[in-house]
Amino acid sequence: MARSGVADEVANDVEAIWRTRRTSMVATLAAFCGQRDLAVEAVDEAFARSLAKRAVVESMPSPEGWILTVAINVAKRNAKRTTRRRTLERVDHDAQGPDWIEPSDPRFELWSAVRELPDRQRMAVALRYLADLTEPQIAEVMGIAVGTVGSSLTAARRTLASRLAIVDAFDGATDDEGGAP
Amino acid sequence: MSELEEQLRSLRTPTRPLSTAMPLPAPSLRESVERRRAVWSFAAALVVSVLVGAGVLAWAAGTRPEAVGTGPVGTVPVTSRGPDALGPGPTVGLDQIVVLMQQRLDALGIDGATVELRDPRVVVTLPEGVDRDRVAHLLDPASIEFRPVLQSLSATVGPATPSGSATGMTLAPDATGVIDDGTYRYQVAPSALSGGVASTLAAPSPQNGRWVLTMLLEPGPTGIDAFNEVAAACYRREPRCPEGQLAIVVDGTVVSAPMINADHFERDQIEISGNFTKEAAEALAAQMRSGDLPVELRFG
Repeated sequence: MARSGVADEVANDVEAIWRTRRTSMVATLAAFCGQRDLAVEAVDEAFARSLAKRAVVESMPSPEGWILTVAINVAKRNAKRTTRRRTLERVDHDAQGPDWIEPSDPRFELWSAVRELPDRQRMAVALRYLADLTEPQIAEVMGIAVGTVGSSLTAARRTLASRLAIVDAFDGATDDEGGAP
Repeated sequence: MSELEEQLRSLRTPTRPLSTAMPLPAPSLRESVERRRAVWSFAAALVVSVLVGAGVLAWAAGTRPEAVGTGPVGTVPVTSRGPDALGPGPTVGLDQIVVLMQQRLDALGIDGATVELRDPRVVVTLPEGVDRDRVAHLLDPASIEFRPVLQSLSATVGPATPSGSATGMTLAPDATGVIDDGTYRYQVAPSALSGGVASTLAAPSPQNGRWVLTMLLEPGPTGIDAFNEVAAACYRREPRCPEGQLAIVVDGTVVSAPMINADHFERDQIEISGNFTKEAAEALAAQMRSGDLPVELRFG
């Protein structure tokens, strides 16, 4: 697949990709499957495979894209294997082990909201903001139209904003956080 | 880049860092590549179908045929009544009415309609053959209710939300029930306050420049008093509002379900914040104030 945008930023060798991109790949997978362990396993297996055939992988237009795609597929396969009825794309509320973002973390609320997005929106958000793909690249990975990616992202952002909404009383006289307008 | 996008990017960093042992090469590649092919068909099957329009389905409830003229359907001029119809508070801009009309037409499933701003009018041009009854309620005042969230039901409403589900059907004000917002499904308590919103305005917060909604409630028991009563219950997470969230229901659809962050409010000092973009804040404000649109509907 054409992933030149990201490929330009990182060297094409597997070790460099490992150093610079592994964490965001695991984050992407964690957003998919909700289990940090499963995400780590999938990404590491993908890296292991890329090492096994590194000459081929490193000559690809985007080794990173290949690794990410493999990781997604490994995660899907593992999820299918471990649970028959629940697919990977469903939010797994019974997930075991530490979460990627833990409840004590101030970002947990946002993370939970992302995790509860509908499948397509969650996948688009993860690929856009965690894996840092462009919209055309996401369209290719997900097998949907670019316009659909855009509208999924828009819907997801709107939902997240609404989901994280709070009602607060404001009082100009005492509330001075952030300084004067 | 918006603040929300920035926060989303921050999620790349885990709470606890990853260990960094480099994995060993996998033994059998061919097998996994074959599996990968099989999995692609699985992936294709997972693509969820359209969510578009699910957010604002409820406009379709009820018809008022007597509001409809007798002329041929084609052009629907919408005339501003002027600012005096608005009462106190911020005015609704014609450009926002254009957006709102487009949303309502989308929600009604009417394709090919155009909405134009021809100051001082908003003109809605309908495609050939649209049944007039379908647009009769285009400008009906919206009903707005505040209902405590009893439970956020798990994640998705599903790939498609036909009007046969909770969306599009009105829950009686005194009933407990399930309402969608197009993405989430909420179990909500009876309405704690119906109407009572004098105006709603989207604007950048003077404190930090983020887009927020400020809501002006009516005074007295049909406004701020009822709101404060339920807000206090939500703030303390009393059994009647266990999640601390108050769903704002417009025409049977949850438009937002914010957390209540204070136990007492002045009627002109209520702020809804939530990482809104300008567009999202304005859209929500337009929805919440659609009860008093300064427009009327005539068929040409």
